[in-house]
Amino acid sequence: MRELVVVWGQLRRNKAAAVAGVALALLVAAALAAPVLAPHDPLEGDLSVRLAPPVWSGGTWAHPLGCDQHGRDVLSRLLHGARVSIFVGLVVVLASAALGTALGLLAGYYGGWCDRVISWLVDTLLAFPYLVFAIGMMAVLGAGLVNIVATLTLKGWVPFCRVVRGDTLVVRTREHVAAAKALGAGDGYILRREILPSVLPSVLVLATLTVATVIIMEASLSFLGLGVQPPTPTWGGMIAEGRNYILNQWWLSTLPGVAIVAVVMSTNLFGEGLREALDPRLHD
Amino acid sequence: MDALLDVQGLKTHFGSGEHAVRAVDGVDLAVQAGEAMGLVGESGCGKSMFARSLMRLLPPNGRVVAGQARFRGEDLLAKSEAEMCALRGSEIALVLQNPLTSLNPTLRVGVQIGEPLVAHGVARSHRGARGRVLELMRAMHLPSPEEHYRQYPHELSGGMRQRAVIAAALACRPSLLICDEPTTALDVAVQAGILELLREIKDRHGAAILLISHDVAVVNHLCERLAVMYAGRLVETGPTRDVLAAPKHPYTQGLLQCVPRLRTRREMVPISGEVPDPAALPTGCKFHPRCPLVEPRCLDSEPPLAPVGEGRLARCILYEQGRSL
Amino acid sequence: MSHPLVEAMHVTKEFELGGGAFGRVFARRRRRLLAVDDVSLAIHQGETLGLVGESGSGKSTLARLLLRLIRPTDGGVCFDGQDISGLGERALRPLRRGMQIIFQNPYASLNPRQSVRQILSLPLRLHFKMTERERRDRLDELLRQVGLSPDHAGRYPHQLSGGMRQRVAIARALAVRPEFIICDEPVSALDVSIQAQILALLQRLQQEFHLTYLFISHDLAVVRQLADRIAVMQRGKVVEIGSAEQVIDRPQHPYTQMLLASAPELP
Repeated sequence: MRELVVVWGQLRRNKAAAVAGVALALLVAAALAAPVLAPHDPLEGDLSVRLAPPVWSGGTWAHPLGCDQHGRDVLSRLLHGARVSIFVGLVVVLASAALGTALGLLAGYYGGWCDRVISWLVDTLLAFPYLVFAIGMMAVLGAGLVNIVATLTLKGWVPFCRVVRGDTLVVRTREHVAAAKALGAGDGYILRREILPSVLPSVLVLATLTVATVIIMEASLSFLGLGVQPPTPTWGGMIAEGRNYILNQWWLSTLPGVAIVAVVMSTNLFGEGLREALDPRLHD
Repeated sequence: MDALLDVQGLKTHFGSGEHAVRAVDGVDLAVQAGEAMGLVGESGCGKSMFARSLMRLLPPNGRVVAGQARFRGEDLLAKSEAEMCALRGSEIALVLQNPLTSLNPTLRVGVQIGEPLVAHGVARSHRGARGRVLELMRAMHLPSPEEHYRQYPHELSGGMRQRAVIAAALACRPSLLICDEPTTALDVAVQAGILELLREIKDRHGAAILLISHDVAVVNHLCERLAVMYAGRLVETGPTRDVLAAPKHPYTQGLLQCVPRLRTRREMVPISGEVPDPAALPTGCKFHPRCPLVEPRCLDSEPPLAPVGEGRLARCILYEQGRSL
Repeated sequence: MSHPLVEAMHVTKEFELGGGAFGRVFARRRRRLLAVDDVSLAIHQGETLGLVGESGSGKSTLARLLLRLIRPTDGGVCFDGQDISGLGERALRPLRRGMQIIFQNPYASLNPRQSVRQILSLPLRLHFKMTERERRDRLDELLRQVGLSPDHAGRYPHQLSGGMRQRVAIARALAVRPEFIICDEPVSALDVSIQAQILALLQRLQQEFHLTYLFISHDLAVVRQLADRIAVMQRGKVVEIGSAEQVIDRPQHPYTQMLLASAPELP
């Protein structure tokens, strides 16, 4: 559609967002292509190269980022770990945003008992600290990828709902909404075309921040042993496993941390660029 | 006698270089002590920026690039920030359009009215200022001053808030009161009260008033003289009664034609076109694209303000070299 | 026609203030605001009824009641002889074609994220079956009728001046070919010279399309230019109603007299 072309053009002009977008795309591509890209099997260790340093610290190109205590290639594990982290990050954020936005729109637009029920849910869930909630849920559900996604989504939709509800309350009083109603537009149209687009920027910003939170949550859960179970590599798990070696083999915990930072920063920058690109007022 | 405020050639630009926005583009204006002068113009003409330039309260990317503004003989534009701080609120006061945002919602009304007294050392503390504040509130015809003293701005009605703002402006007995659209945000009945108050201030306290408004009727109600501003420059000045009875500049004529009259229903002949974008002003006379009397020469050069009567000036090619309309 | 085009019969609208989820449970005496209090008036086809009052008088609420954007607490609203007070949204939709509204704030009444083309297409899509080409032609026609050029169609609201935005709002109202248009302070936010342009445009359109107007304003002089009859509202009630000359030259109610006395006049 014409609008996508405009948005694309806007994005290309914003250097930071463009770079971030490219970086993000590369990361996702790398994650997807991990089985092909990774030089070694992430699960099989060669004890003869146990704790090998990265190539700039005296190591060989065979293991450019070194090896862990089981002799497993760090680069390969990072690539495979990326799949988990990015997968969880994106899926949870998309699901949370979709669920939270939908409920927020309904609560804000219709008010009444609909709002009361949803707000009660929001307040109740907010009362639980994130980690405590996650630990509790995982304990009940058991470990595993699907359970992590479910748990994190269950808590993740709440901030979206609050933000969208607040924005909807404001936007629904705007005159262009009344004008559309006067023209005979139904609620569906109004929610979709008059309210949602005005609410979307907040959602985008929150989504990019949430990617960071989710990736860190997943890493925390893996770190605690509640997440995806070893030997499947995850960035959080790698940080956990490397913590005993942090003094001398710093790369084991630090490199996954750097990866997390890279993804988080890229998402934030890209998300901000996307938000600006979507706002016609910031153009020309 | 020298004017209280004598502005010559004031220019205020935003940004720089070729695409600078010339918000105020050479304004000469004089206000006598004790007189009320009206500055009339539509949005974007630069009248608010003119007021802020005088008070040296421009937004970050605005600068005065030329001109002088002599207040009691001293150039305001050449003063240091510290000197201006001493003047603001004590000698020259500013009243803005929206009293709700002019007042701090977290401070009590009485404290805010007393602030200039404390800031300029007239009173030692707010407690010491209280007496004078109550006196001011009574002078502004605020009912039950003791009660309102302790209240917060949102507890007052729009009209009362504006009276509080004016009270604060008058606290140190300034000789010049600049009002930028002081009644625009108010209901018509409340507006009348504020205008009466301003008239009383002028007559009783002897303050000169520079009233800036887009509403010619409001200016007519209060001001002896008026100046019409368009695209950063003045196009006509003179005694209010004379200008309104027989406007000389085509813009003034068009403007007065547009204003709906209460007592008669008449054919409104709008001025064609739109107010020019300050970043893309027309060449020559700034009004020529919309002028019904435009001549080819109007595109080349903009005429200076020329005398068109007793104490009257107009900026139009029709009045150059003694031609008359 | 024998019956008035638009009629309000003892219409009342009450708002409850204070809230939150527990407001209803704990508050014993909820604060109530009577925005419109037992208002009855009739607007006849082809006329312009002016509605004046200060802020808080209930004029905008009355406008929304007449358009059935909100439901009356009490009383009835009729459009073209049909009682629309209790109708649901589905039943109202075909009737909405007949009555439209133009708002005060040209900055807020247009969706900032839609182009002029999208804004004007909505009414066309909702009420008419048109091909893409017919829609485009109608759009160009509408733009021309309000004094804009067809290349404005691709612009966004923030790229247009206040006067131009208001013209787009007028075009939007005209798109459905209504009989009745409520003008809710349509020129209050505009400069004087643009104000005159928009008022002249509204006058011309009324003649060309045989429109009926309810013209709401706090500015009596503006209302005087268009209105055949004038109604004055104070705190939710209509305190005076009569022909324009009567109300302006021989006001009966003290509030009207006060409004007239307060308005600064030009010679």
